[in-house]
Formats: sequence, structure tokens, C-alpha cells
Amino acid sequence: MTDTKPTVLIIDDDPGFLFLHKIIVKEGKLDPNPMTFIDARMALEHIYPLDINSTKFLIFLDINMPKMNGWKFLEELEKNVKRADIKVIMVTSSLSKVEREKSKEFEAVIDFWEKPMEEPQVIALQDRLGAWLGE
Amino acid sequence: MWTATLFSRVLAADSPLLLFKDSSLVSTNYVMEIWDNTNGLPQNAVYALEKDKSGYLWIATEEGLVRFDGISPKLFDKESYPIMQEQTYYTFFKTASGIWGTADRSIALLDRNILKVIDCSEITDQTWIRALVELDSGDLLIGTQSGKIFQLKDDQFTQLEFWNPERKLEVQNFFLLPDSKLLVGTTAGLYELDLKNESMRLISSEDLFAQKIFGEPGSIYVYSSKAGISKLNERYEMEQIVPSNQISDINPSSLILDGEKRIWAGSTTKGLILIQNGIVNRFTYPELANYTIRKIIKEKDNLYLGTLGKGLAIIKPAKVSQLSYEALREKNIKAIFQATDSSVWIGTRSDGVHRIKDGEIHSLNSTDGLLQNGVTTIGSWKDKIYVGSSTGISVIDQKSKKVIGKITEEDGLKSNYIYAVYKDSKDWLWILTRYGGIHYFDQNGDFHQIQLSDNYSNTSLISILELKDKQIVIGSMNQGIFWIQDGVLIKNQSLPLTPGENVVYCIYQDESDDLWFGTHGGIVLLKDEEFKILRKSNGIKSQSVYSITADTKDGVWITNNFGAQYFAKSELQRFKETGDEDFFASTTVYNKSLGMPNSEANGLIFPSSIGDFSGNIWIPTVEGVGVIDASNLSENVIGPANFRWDELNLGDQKTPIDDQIIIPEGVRMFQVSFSLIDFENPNQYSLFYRIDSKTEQWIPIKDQRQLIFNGLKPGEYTLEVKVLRYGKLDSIQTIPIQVTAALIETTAFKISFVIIILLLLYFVVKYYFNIQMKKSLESMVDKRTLELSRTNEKLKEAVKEIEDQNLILKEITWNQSHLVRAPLTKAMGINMLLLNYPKYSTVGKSKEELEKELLDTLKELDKLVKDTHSKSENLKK
Repeated sequence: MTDTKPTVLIIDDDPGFLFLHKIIVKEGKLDPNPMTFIDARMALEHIYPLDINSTKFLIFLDINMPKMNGWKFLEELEKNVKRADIKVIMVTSSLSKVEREKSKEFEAVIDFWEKPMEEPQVIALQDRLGAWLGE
Repeated sequence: MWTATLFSRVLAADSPLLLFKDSSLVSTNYVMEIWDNTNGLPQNAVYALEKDKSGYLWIATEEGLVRFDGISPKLFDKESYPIMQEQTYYTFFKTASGIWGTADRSIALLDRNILKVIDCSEITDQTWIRALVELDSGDLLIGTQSGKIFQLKDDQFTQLEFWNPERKLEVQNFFLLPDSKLLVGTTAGLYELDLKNESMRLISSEDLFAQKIFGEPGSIYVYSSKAGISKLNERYEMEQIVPSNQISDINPSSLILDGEKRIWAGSTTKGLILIQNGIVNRFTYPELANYTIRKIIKEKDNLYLGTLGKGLAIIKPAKVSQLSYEALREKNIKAIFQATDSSVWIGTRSDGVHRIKDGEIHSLNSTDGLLQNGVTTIGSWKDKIYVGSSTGISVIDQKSKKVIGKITEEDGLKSNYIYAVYKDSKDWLWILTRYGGIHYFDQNGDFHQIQLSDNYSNTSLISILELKDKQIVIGSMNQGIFWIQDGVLIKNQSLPLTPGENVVYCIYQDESDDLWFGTHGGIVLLKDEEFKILRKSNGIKSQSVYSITADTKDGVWITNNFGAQYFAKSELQRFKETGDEDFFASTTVYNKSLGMPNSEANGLIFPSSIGDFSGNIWIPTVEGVGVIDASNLSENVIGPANFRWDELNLGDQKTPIDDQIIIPEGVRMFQVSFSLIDFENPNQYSLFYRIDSKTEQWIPIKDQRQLIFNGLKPGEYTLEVKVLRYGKLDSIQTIPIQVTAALIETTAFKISFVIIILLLLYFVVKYYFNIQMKKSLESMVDKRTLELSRTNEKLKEAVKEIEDQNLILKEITWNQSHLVRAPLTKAMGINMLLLNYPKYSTVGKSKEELEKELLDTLKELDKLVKDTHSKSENLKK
């Protein structure tokens, strides 16, 4: 049992999606104040200092990004983050099956969503994660 | 061409040639042909004369042998026939193999040709051959002047051993008897040789000089200069027929016995000796008065005489008889007419008119009351004879034969120049004159004249005929023909002739009622209202035709300046039907050579010839009347024509023709000669030939007996010669001719040549194509290889291109899935936000801001789509 709630991170190079997904996360009651990152490297810099046992991160990760793409981000995350409890949901506009399969290689990835994110998906995710969300 | 010298003459009553039936009107005559060095003999001294098995007459002269067929003499001498060893043959001996001719040192067998020549010099040394006989075995026995007899067997001479007379003698002649017995006449008796038993015996006194044995078994005669002519009976007893003093001038070698058992011989001084029943007659032909007769052949009605100095004389009965009346002898004869009482009236040019009846002649001239002695026409009417002249008509009472009146211009004639008087079936007497005169007396004796227009006031009316339909046709000079019916002129019709030819001498209506006009331009046929002309080129002997007379048999006779010409009616019919311009009629000409007194017949008289009641054709000539017995022409023809293929001439080379002719390769010109042996009447034949049986065209052969061929292509031919006698087909003689092809002309050669050429061509083509094919295959392979490598390059390029394109496509796809979807999903998200706008409280942006953001997002999407499109456009090359 933990009483800590995960920090929700939304990573996308498109400000429009950051804006949109932030609203859906809020309205879905997942996190009233999700953090948004337009650059995956900045998200990593935010996570690294918080790599402790009790921290949880729920990350909505876009794949195709110019400076650091989603996969690179995941690789860095696996390599550098040892203690924090991180769950990642890939959110992409790509329809590539290859990418969907590739995402399964990463332990932290728990789902693969197509853009745009929708409210019922967020609600369903809350049901699925249940206690991990610290309700 | 031959030009026999021909004589004819009326025989005196004591002539030995009483060859013809006697006739009260017509007497007999003969024709004599002389063949000498002017017309085919090399020389005029005849040594021997004999006919061979084929019918050719052989004549031995000093300058060679002559073979004669009746029309063309053919010379065999050493020059043209090197087989001959000598030029002069003295005696002929007729045997089963042919005629053996004997010369000084050789003998020759003659039959159609010189079959064989045998050198006899081994038996003729210091002597010569006197007798020759051929035995049944074919061996010859030859007797010599030196008294020896040799047997010739297989070309070997052996002396006859059993011939060994005791006395020295000369063999004079042989006479073969049946049963292998031979009589041998010698200077010392007559011997019998028994050839079977090989024995001999003397059968007469040794003193008998048996100069000549002649006759036939059963009628054997022996002549000796001492004993004259004796008959030898079966017991070899001699009975003198004629003592020697009666025939001291006889030429023994000429002695013969004829078919009537008369003995003929030539006299050494003059003429002929004829012995009949022991009575010696002598006579001389005037034509041969100065020549002795050495050889005689008497055959049927013909007499062949070999003379010394006048060549060969052939005396034969004339085919045309002449009148023997002194009053008509050599007179220029004009119109001839036969009256109803069978009397024949003969007009002359200047000797009055003559009536012949029952062998008697009654002459009338101006002293008897005739208007003049020249006669132009004769007719009869109401028992009177009307004799026309240039000064009117004399009327003669048929019974009293007296001139009882005349008809002249004074009686209404247009002219006194009378051309024709003619009685028709209505018993009208027509009188045609000069100056358009057509008149007639009707059956009541009333005189009428037919009025012609002024155009005809100068027309001479010269011939007349009543047709079967009673119409009268009158021929004129220059104005064609006039048609009259019931005394009325219906029409004048001109003939298709030039002015000079436009003289209608005579008119003839044939059995089909077609009309034939004898004119100065040939014979004009009027058939079915159309004219057709038979001209000289179609076989008539002369353009002017004076008369046309049908005989009672199958013929029609026309007369002209060359005599009388016989046409079979079938030939005229053939002319009617032919459309061939080259039509040539088969005819027979009767001229002086057949006994016409003169070959020139007279015309422009009426009638200009007649057929009398007994079938004779009477022809007036410038020298007397010729009478042809037309009733038995075909009966004169005995057996088929004696046609013989003779020789093939190739340049100088002569080859007798047997059953085919082979022309060696390379020879282009050759001559084929033939004979038609006939001594009776060579004129009776018409010959035609053709070498190509595919054509109907027969080419006339005139007098030549040689056909020349030039340029015949190699191949098989049949030469056909058609023989007609009196216009009727006698036979068609055929002989195959094979013209041999030179090697290069043979079909086999040509075929082989073509095959070789084709093979050669085949190989050349094949070789060429092989090379060509190889080349083309190589080049094809090269080309293909090049193409393949190019294709490969292209493929590589294409692969690269495809790869490139694939990259682009992937990029497009990537763009589709990423770039496009990014704004699209964003737009969807904004749209969703807008939909949920009333519900969401945390949006933080106004609806308008969101809508603007949506529009921007869509614009972004649109830009992406446009970029993608331009990228895909770049894919196209």
C-alpha cells in the first residue's frame, strides 16, 4: 500500500497535443496538474533527480519527436532510472505496427494509445491501475 | 518440172496400134512421149530397158542408169552413186530379185535403187558377160563370151563343172525353164542344162547359132541369123516361123513376145518389125523415123521404145480422142452443137460449119449459101439449124442440110454480130448480139426484142442459160448478168470482178441450183445471193474460163487456154463449203500430153463445149476438136496408186527410205523424195502433204516429187501425202520422221540440265543462307547480349529507381502515418475538446481560440498533404 500519488508527465513535441492531453488528463481526473514537456530530454532531467523508491511517474510519451524521440527516451530512462516506479503509455499518431511491437520491449510501457487521447481511455486507465494511482 | 516433148498424131489405118474400140464419130489416136537429154536422160543412146518389181522403168544409157516413174527421170551415175563401179550397163536381165544389169566388169542389182554391185573382173578377163540367170536358190549363173558358165554363190564365183561342151563356143543367152532346166544358146548349138542332175546335153545341131531365145515357157522362140525365127516345142523340135531373109535387118537383142503372142523387134535400118501369125509387118513412127529401136517393152496398151539417138519413146493411147475427118484436120474450131437428131454441128473460124452424123461429115461454107465461113454460135429450133456469125445468122434445114434463110439487122436484130442462139424449154429461140441485143422468137415464130436502157446500148451479150425455174440468165461483157422472166427483164446484176475480168463466157447451174459463171477472172459462184470466186490460186489452170460442162458421171469440165480441166463435183462442193482462202482444188488437166489436138481451147463462142448424148465432152481447140470419153474415167483407174517413198537427201548424202526417216542431230534441212509411178496418166493425180497432223491444212504439191523441210524442231513427226485421182481420195501415204535432237537439244538433257541448275542453285542458296543465318544469329546474339546488358543496366537503374521510389514512398507513408496524422489527431483532439467544451472546466482557452487552433491545425494538415503530393509528383519520371 502506498499513499503516494504518481506524477503525470506528458511528453510531446507538439504544444497543441500537450495542451489537449493536459486537459484530457485533468478532465479524466487522473491528475489535476500534469506536467508537460515539449522536449524529452527536459523530461529526463526532471525525472533523474526524483529517482527514489517512493516516486511514481505515469508518463504519456509521444514517439516521434525531433530532438529525442520516444524510444531514445525509454532507453535513457531504463539505463538511468533504477528506483522510481515508472509506467509509460505510448501516445502516438503513428499507425505502425512495428512501433507497437517495439514498445513491448520496454518494461515500463504498459499501453499503446493512438492520438488523440480521449477521456474514456483515461477513465479506463484509472480503473486498470487502481491502487497504483494512490486513490 | 518436166517438159516432155510430146507428139500426137492420127494413126494411119494400117497402124499396129489398134488399141481402141472403133467409133463411128471418133477415131483413135496415140500420144508419144519422148524422154531424152532435153528432159531428164543424160544421153540419148538406150542400151537396155526393163521395169523393176516396183514398177519403175530402168533405162541404161552410156552415161548411167535412169530410173523413171512416168514423170520424173532419176539419174544414177558414178558421180552421184559411188556404189556404181561402171557408168555403162549394156544388158538387163529381169529376175526374181530385181533387174540385174551387166557392164564390162561388174553387175548391179536394181530394184527401186541400186541394191548391190558385184565386181566380176575375175570372170571377165579378156571377155564379157553375155547371159545371166537367177536360180530359185538366189544363186546366179553367168555365161561369158568365152564360152564359160560361172555360178555366183555367196559372192564367190565358181565355174560350172558340168558345163563342158565339146566344141569351142560362145555363150549367147540363157532361157530358164521349169524343173531347174536351163536353155543355153551358143554359137555352136542349143544346150539344155539340168541343174538338178548337174548334166548337160545338146538339143540342136551344133551348127545352130542360137543368137536369141525369147518368149515364155510354152511359147519359146529361137532366133538365128541363118534360120530366122523358129518356135521350139516341148520336145525341142524347131518349127520355122519366119525365114531369115524376111528379117535380115532385125536387131536380135530387141526381140520380145507380147501378151498377145505377137513378136516385136527393132530393125537395124528403120522402124519396128511386128510378126503376127508368121506375117511380118513393118512400120515407122514418123517421130522416130531417123532412129533405130534397140529395146522394146510392150505392156498393156503402152509401148516403150529404147532408141539409139532419141532416148526413150513411150507410145500410149490418147485419153483425148480427135476427129479424123480431113475437113476438120488442124482447123480452128469454134462453136460445137449437138442437134436433137444426134448430129453434131461443128463451127470453125474460117472454114464453115460441119455436120457429123453416123461417121459421115457434111460441110457447108459460104459457097453453099452461108453468110460467111466464120462461125460464132450454133443452135437449133423447129428442125432448123441456126449458125451465127459476125454478119448475121444462116438458117439451115436440118433434113436437107441446105441453107434456107438468114436473120440479120434487117429482120430487127440490134446487130449482125451474133454471140449466141439458144432454144429454151418454151420453144423460144433466143438471139444475143452486140449493142444490147436480146431477142427471141416465141413458140409461134413471132419476133420480140427485150428493151434495155441506153446504158446497155453498147453491151455485148455473149452467154445464156435457162435455169430450172425457167428464168433466163444472160451473161455480158462488162455489164454482168441479166435476169429475164417470161420475156421481161427483171434485173441486171454485176459480178464482183475488175473491168478486165468482167466477161461472162459461160453459165452453169449445178444440181443444187447454184450458179457458176465462167469469166475472164475465174469462176464466180452465186450461192444464196452471195458471190464467191474460184481463182487461179485456188487451182484453176487459167483465169479465163470459157466453158463449164457437167459430164454424166461425177465431174465438171472447164476449158481454158491450157486445155480442159476436170473437177470432181465433190471438189466444187468442197469449194462451196470452204471459208479457207487457201482452198486448193484437186483437178486433172487434159492437154496435148493426153491427146488434145492443141492445149488451147476456144472461147467467146456459144456453146464453147458440149457434153454429147453418149457422155463425151467435145472441146473446140485452135487445132481441132478434142473428144473426151468422160463416162469411164474412174474405170480407167486400176488398183491403188503406185506410191513409193524414195530417198532421203541430207546434203550430198542419199539414203533410200524404208519404213521411217531418221534425221540425225544437227541437220536442219533435208529433202524427202517419193514417186508416183504411172505411165498411163500422171496428170490424174493431185497431191497434198502435211507434216503436222494437228492442222487441217494440206499443202498442195505441184509437179515436184520432192519435199524440202527446213528448220523442223527435234521431235516425232508423221509426213502424210494425200493422193487424189480425179479429185477422189486414193490414199494417204504416211511415213514417220524422227528429227533427232542434238545432245543439248534432247529433252533428257534439258531436264538434266535444269535439275543440275536447280541443285546448284539449291546448294548455293543453302550455303549462302547458312552463312547468312550464322551471321545473323551471331549478330542477333550480340545484339541480344547487348540488349540484355542494356536491359540489365536498365533493370539496375530501375531497381535503383524502384528502391529510390520505395524510399520516397516509405517517406510518404511515414509522412502519412506520422506527419499527417500528427495534425490530424491534433485536430481531432481539438474538435473533441470543442464538443466537450461545456463539460470541461480546465480548458483555459476560449472556444474561439480553440476553433482558430483547429483551423491552424487543419491548414498544417493541408500543407502536409500538398507537400506529399509534390513529392509523389517527383516520383514520376
